[in-house]
Amino acid sequence: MGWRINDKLELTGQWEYMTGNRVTLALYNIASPDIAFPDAPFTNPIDPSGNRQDGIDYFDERNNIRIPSFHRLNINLNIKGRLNKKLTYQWEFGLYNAYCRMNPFTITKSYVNLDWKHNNGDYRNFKTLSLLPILPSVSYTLNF
Amino acid sequence: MLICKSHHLLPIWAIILVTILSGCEQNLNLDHYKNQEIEKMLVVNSILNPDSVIAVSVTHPYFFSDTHISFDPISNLSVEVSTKNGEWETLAYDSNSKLYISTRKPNAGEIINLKVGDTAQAVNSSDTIPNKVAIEDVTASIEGPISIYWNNDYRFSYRITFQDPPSEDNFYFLSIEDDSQSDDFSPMGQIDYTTDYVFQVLANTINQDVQGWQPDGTFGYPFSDKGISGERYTLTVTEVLQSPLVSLIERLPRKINLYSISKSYYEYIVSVLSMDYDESALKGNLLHLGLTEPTKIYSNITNGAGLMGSYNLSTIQVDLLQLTDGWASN
Repeated sequence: MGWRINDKLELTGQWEYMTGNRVTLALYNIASPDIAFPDAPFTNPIDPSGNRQDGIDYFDERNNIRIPSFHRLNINLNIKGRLNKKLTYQWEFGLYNAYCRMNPFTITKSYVNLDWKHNNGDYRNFKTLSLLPILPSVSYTLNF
Repeated sequence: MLICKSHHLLPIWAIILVTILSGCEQNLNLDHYKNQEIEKMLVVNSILNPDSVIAVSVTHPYFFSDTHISFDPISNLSVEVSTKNGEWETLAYDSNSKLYISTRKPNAGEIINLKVGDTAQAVNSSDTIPNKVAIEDVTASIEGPISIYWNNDYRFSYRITFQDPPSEDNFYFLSIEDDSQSDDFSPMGQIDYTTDYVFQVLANTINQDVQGWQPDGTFGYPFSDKGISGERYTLTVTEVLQSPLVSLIERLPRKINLYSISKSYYEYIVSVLSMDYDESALKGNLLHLGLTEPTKIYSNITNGAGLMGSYNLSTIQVDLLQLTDGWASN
């Protein structure tokens, strides 16, 4: 969408919306056999003090969850002018992702604290991973 | 013309950098994806071997972000295993071990059937106890002092010989552990499984879709008889010992464990290794970021989750220094 305010000023905006992609994430964990059978051979046995009772990922089905929706507003302000008969210039001031929406591109399982004896449940969370928050830009173009 | 002095630009750059580099992770509540059916599902784990009585652990899954200290065992279920004469034995729940325990030990070659619950949708599984495969011979050689990590490292090469039974698929797990007493000065070095053919076959299996995994951990690895079926085979594994105090070391006692494991147990361990989140495993890191498809952890439990696996252990105790005739032998 664009708005030509006058011959010198132009404001443009672009808003995008997409529903989030579906991804496969293990929402549940199950007990791994080494918790109950510590003498059996395993490639990465649990800590004997019992601190690693997080178990293993349990995948129910593929594409089981949807990432939160994606939306973003980009704004540009263009200022045009003339320096002399031959030279014109243009300033462009832009804001990519103007309201700093942290659009997630994936979801991860976060183990912040592996000390299960003192874990009150707040240390394990699903986290979204996002890139590119608000990005200002400026450019100057000289036409001759 | 826009004129900015350099000290005016600094806060602008700081704001831009902080904006770009911060706030990339945010907590997400996924409670609306909770599934009652999964929460009621039974997770049955049982690892059998002829040296221990049959034992079964039964738990439920837990939602990842829920409060969870440990897996609470379910103690009021009907858990049965098949007996030699085709009848079923009901296992008693033992509150100390938090396991359902049988009165008997399984035999090598025996098929053990397991049934949990008494409804039409009973959770069930079965596994065959593998036969023991004996370690026939162990020899070792020493190189050093050589420069691997430091200037006075020693590399021991184990050669472990066993006979793979012909005309059947066999699966194994090899581990080498420190067998010293607490008052011995006997350090354990870094075990390296990467050189042997059977572990490279394992690496190829795990690296089918994403390269980068190597069997370089310390707790041992599984392998199959693919490529060595029916052969008398000698495994080669190395241990790198970093110790400037070799003159104080009189013994290097090691316990070498060769487990014959069932196919289901092998499949389970391989699937867990495929999901390895170790920093050196590229796939594990891609998985953690959600950038590649996960591998489903193997399960042979019908109407539930978990593993019924079995093993038969052949072990041998050696003194590495004695095998190699001491530090000055090389």
